[in-house]
Amino acid sequence: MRYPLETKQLTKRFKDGDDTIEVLNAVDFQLEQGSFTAVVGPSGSGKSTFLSIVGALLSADEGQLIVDGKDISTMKDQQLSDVRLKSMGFIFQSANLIPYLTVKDQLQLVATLNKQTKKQSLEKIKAMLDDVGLSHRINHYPHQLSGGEKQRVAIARAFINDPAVILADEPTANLDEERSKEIVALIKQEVKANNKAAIMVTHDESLLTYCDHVYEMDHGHLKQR
Amino acid sequence: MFKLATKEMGFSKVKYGLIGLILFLIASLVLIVSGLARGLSNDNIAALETMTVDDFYVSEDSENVLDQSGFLLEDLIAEVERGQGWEPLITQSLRLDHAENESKLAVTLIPVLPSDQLYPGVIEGEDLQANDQLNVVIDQTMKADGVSIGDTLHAEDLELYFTVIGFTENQTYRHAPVIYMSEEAFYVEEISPHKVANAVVLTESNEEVRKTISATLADGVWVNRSDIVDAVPGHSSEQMSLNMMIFFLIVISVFVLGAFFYILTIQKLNQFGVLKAIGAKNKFLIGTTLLQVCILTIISLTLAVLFTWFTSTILPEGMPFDFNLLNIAIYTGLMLIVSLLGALISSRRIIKVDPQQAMGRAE
Repeated sequence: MRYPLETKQLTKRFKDGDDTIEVLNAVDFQLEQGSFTAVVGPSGSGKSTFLSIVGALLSADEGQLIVDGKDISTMKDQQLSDVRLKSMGFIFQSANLIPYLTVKDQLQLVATLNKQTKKQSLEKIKAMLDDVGLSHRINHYPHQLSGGEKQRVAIARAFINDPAVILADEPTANLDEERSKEIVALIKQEVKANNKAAIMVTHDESLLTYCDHVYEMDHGHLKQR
Repeated sequence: MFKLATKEMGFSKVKYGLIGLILFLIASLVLIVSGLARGLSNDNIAALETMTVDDFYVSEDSENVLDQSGFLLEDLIAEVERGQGWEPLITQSLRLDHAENESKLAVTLIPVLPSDQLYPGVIEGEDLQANDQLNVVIDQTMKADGVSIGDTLHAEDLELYFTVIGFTENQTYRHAPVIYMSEEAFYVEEISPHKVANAVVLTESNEEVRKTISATLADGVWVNRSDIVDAVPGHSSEQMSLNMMIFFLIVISVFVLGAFFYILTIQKLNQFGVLKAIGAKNKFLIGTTLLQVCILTIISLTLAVLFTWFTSTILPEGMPFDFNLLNIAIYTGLMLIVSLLGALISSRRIIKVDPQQAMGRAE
């Protein structure tokens, strides 16, 4: 079976003074199509490092990272940014929207980077914003949106390029409990509707009920719960 | 890329507006100072610059300064007649009283044969005639002093009255207007008792005449017009100090603009990280930044050119200022390159941005 994302013996070490810490220790991991996977663990357990590496933002020291059937662990920076553009959708802790772009333009930018024409993308953008319930905010700037609305834009931005993998890094860290549930439910809804694979790093145990699989990061080892 | 560039500028109008304002002020200063440098230069040497002759024979010990050079011409006239390829150049400082408004004017008097190359012709009024009448044609800058055609100018030292019959243009020398009079009148009135010249010029390149002049007039050297221009008192030092100002302004603008664009970039490093994380390449980000700088610079420079033009129209008459398009093109081009250079300095920081920082925390 081919996975949207797969790691084989993924290892990452950091130097800490004279010691070397194995943040990731020979991690084998498969992400299934259409599944929503959570990674939990105490801070410093390496779960963010894991997400950075599978998100092609950081390179591993050893092992393979296979995205959409291609081994990207030996790729150069330029190629990696193409992988991120075409195969990954990021949802960050703070929505990380571009302050000077309207909601529509945030999504348009990603589509433009992906060489889509305005015509092609506009329909998709409208549909996508409809999905996340922001049709009425299409011409608003980020500073005019609430925290939950920003995160919804970020979700729409992550999905707009039809990526193979969605990566969410503590997407609810800045939201209250009710909003958190709404946002995670929305991510799940979009994952299922578009048949995508998603990984979410979180420390909020109450959100795990929305996930199909839960992994725990412990001293560089990734174990399924 | 263009859209992203303009959207950001539209969103942060004040920030970009202020940088644009600084750019506009520096550019205006560069253009105005350079216009002034050219204007002053014209004021000092225009009469020489517009001469169509290029070979000057001056006294060996004159250091190429016309006023310190002089020859008696009787021997030369005996050898080669006037109009056979050479002309005498005589400049004489003169103080004139303007009878109409009782002002004193410092001028340089140049006696010429009206048929000769050294006579520039008039742009207004009547040309000089080869006769002994005390008519003069004067540079149009004297209009600012209230002199008009038909006025009488009194040379107290010589006890002579000149009548203005026409105006010339670009005929200034040593920051004073040049007045031309007929050579015949000059000698008839015995302004000089002998046939003299500060320099002898060749009106056509004739080796024989050249040799004869060298042989007849002792202790002289042949120099180019540019040597004479450089030796005009004050010219080199004036131009050097103004050019120095322009040079420093441009160097300063490299650093000021460089610093501005650097701070702007540093401020946006987080955004660049996010953009890189979602797949934007360095080329795209640097391209967008340079495009912003280009747009900003072109707008500011256009306004600066307009402002300089406007300034040149409201400057008091008689103020030496030259609004020269070639000159402006050169300096605006230079400013554009300078601001792009300033922006390029911060491009290094964009390349170094780690997309991982978009993750919000690094372990």
